[in-house]
Amino acid sequence: MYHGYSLKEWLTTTNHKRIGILYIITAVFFLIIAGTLGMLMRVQLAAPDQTFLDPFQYDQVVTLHGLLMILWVLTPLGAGLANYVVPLQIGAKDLAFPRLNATSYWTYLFSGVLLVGTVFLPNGGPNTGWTLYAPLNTIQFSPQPGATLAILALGLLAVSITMASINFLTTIVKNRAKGMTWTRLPIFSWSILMTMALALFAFPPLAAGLALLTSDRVLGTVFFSSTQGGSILWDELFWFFGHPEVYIVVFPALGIIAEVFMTFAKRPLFQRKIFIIEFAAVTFLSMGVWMHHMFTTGVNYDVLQAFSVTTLAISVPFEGLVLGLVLTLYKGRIRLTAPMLFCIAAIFTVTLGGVTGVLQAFPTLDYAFRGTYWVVGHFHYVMAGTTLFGLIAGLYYWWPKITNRKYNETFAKITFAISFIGFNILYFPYFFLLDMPRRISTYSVLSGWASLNFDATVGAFVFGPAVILTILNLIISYRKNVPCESNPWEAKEMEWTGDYSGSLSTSQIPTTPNSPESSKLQEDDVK
Amino acid sequence: MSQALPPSAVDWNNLFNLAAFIAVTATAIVVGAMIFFAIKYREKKGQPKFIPEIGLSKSRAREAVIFATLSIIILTSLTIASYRLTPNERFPPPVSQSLVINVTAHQWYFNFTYPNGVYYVGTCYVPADKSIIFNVTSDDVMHDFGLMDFRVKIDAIPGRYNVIGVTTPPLDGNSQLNYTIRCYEMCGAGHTFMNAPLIVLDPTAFNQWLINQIAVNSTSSAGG
Amino acid sequence: MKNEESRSEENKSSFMPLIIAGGVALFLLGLVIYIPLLVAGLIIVSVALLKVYKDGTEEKFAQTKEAEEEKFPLESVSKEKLGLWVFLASEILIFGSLIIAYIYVRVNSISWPIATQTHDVLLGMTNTIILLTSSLTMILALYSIRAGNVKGLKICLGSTVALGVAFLSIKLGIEWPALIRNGFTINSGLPASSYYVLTGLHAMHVAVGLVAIGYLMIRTFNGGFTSTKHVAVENIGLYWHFVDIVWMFLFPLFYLI
Repeated sequence: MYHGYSLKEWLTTTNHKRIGILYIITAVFFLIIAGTLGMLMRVQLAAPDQTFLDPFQYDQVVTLHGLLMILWVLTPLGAGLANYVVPLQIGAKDLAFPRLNATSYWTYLFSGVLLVGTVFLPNGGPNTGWTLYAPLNTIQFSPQPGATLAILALGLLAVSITMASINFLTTIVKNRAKGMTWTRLPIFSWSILMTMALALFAFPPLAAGLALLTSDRVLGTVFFSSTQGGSILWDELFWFFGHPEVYIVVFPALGIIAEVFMTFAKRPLFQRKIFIIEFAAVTFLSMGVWMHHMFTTGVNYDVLQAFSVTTLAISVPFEGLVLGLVLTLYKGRIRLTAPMLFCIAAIFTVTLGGVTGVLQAFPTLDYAFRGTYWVVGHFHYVMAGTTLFGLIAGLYYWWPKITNRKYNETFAKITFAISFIGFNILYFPYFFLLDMPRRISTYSVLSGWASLNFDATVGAFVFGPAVILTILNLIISYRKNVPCESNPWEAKEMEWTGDYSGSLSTSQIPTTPNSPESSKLQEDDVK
Repeated sequence: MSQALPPSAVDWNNLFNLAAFIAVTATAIVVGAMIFFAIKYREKKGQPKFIPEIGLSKSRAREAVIFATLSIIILTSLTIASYRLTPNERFPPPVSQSLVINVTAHQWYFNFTYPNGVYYVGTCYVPADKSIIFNVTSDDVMHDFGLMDFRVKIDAIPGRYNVIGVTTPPLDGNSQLNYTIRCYEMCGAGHTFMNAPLIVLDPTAFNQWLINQIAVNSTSSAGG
Repeated sequence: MKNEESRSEENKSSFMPLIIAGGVALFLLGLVIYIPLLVAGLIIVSVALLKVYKDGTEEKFAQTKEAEEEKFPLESVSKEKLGLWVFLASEILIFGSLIIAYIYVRVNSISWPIATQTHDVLLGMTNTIILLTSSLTMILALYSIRAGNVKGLKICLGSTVALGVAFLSIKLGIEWPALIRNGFTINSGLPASSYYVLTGLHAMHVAVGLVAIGYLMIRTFNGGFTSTKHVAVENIGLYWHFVDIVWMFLFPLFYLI
């Protein structure tokens, strides 16, 4: 019996809560694999001229680490929390298409199994980096079958996420309970709506690129090996997907931060309507910035300058979101619980990570940043920092709801402190490794990069174990089974109370004499 | 004697320092405010039970517009400051006054072809105090021709010529200046080792080297 | 935990999502390492889809009406139709990306064969008319069942299938063999590759559409549709029209210009 259900019930479930739990467990599993790969990289880079991993192996570790973390860990962890929480927040009994939801999950799981399985094929898996640039990704330069399988696995994941986006978009539009108007919709659900809309937009171009690449690798076509634009064609298709993808990764975490801040500061969201408009602006603009990943490709400079402008434009509403979150704390009654601490850390990393991104938005500055550890530092701050911290905060925050148990708060705070310190020791040095190229397996002692790399590895050995301890804390709390009241945080949001009329996210909306009577839902819809 | 920074690097550093200063200040304000709030507004015992004030905040749309306008002004200024900084195909240096070198990237080395047909593998010799235009392409996969000391790079893409220009500084008492070209795009197992020295010689010494090379190239082509 | 939920939703459990996902993964694995696995995957997925069809007639998967729902906007659009439209949006993006990739590749190529000399425009035109007519018969099918005319529904659905089969037969049985005989094979160069990949993917979508319409016909013969209950006819019709519209773009892009 697992959490009250038999194995068969877990394998056949179409219920959003159990599927949410499955997503979370699977994502944590892939997190451990991808995190171990990251540790291997840091061990290899700790000192100059190391041969612990040979270059080809190192390249495969880099590629698998990147693909797993972005697509098989962060995105699904957000999807898992969304699966559990969104129907509760909107007052629906389940998602619009429950069997499709289950199919999304199992497809995700099997696609991950295929991807990790590529290491067992002759010559292993892909070695191109997660960006799979052409023509390195063609059969001529990456002949190993593992690379083809990885591309198919990625395509299967794209299908999984597209199914999920169809499901969530239909659910949020059609399955809201009576009285749950758009203005009352909780912020986390808004963030998932934006995430899924962006996913619907972003994954098909990736699928198209992967279809053409598969055709190249399996059928011998030359879409990406052609010297008449093949490289840039992949660049365009991939980044047209790739940029919205990184917003897909971070949006659920932003939604969680908003919810956590509201609950633990006991304040409504600062300027909720403006917040949602800014969120929509970031969503919309993120579809039009992709060529900032191509500043050094030699494409027409005026076009690139236009994309620089759109990239800078997107930073304005994004900073507005961050300010709105910070101002939510103003005049609050703040409780520094573990989820709150992780969210505060997440705001720090999104600000620092964000400004290092804005600096890259200037093509001139990007000429120096491109392909170096500055970029690696930037995206780890926003992904391993904001997104991971936000999702961990979400796990802690909704843990009592999902498992009806208390976790050890003191242990959680201690592991938070260790995580945060380790995280910064690991990634802050990257901003000073401006001339160190990405994806190199070692470096000479003459480069001068040794001491910063060593510091970063020390940080990795603090941050990595801290993440493991966080997971352990949750597992141990589950086993200990210390029961918990149904709303330990005194939260006012709908998933806790079943009642949106008093929720903090809606407290700025004046109630009218015509407010629907059925603002309270059935008790068992919310448990 | 130590090497002076090339002029393009000085320009880049100035722009970077300005932008980074603004960035760090913005971060400090935002994060500082957040930490200040988190401490100042801690929940204390004995506080009255909190009641969310409905309709508490008047619309701050005006402040939002002011904030957005200020940000746009700052970002636009930085954009204008950065627009003309790097000589590339949009603002190329004058070809007539420059030395044009064709660079071909391979897995996993660079080779350099000079205007008179001289062909050299693995190291790039250039004269001091001269505008150099690099015409960069690749023979196999995508590479990146990166001159971090000058703060420029451009991708080496098969089937395509990309242009980047630098101005080498004067020797200033050094017998030669040593810089490093590195590949900054993942190109396979040898990516780690894909470096090439860029050696700046006194113009006379450079011309001598070039003449020597013509002799070497012709004997090898005659003999080989 | 368990007890609160057991009432309404555990009856919706099914092994099919797991099996379909596993079958597809097996298919992809087989494509790379061992063809028999690919065949096994195809069989598993097909059988599972048949089971899903059978489940569709069972009570436990019948769509329950949510008690009271917030409807604005899209009050009149059903859940299934909205889901289909969102799915069509993703399909538009896939085909759109592929078409843009084709245009990009063509614009960047030094030379490109003349379309009217490479392809049999008459055959292409015939196929276009066939597909357009099939859209018409699909619309007539919907009108028939709206009026309660089950016989008309059967005739129109049957005609749509026949026209679809004709489309595929002409394309795969006449056009493509002729092209291949002339050396216009999938890896003979970018012009041929882009033609085969795009029209091939389109043909796959036509085939899937035919399977779906076949499902409609089986349901019709089992008396499943009435003048008030025929949502599936409309939704699958929408998919069919979409497939037709994609061809309206592919035909001029490959046969005329």
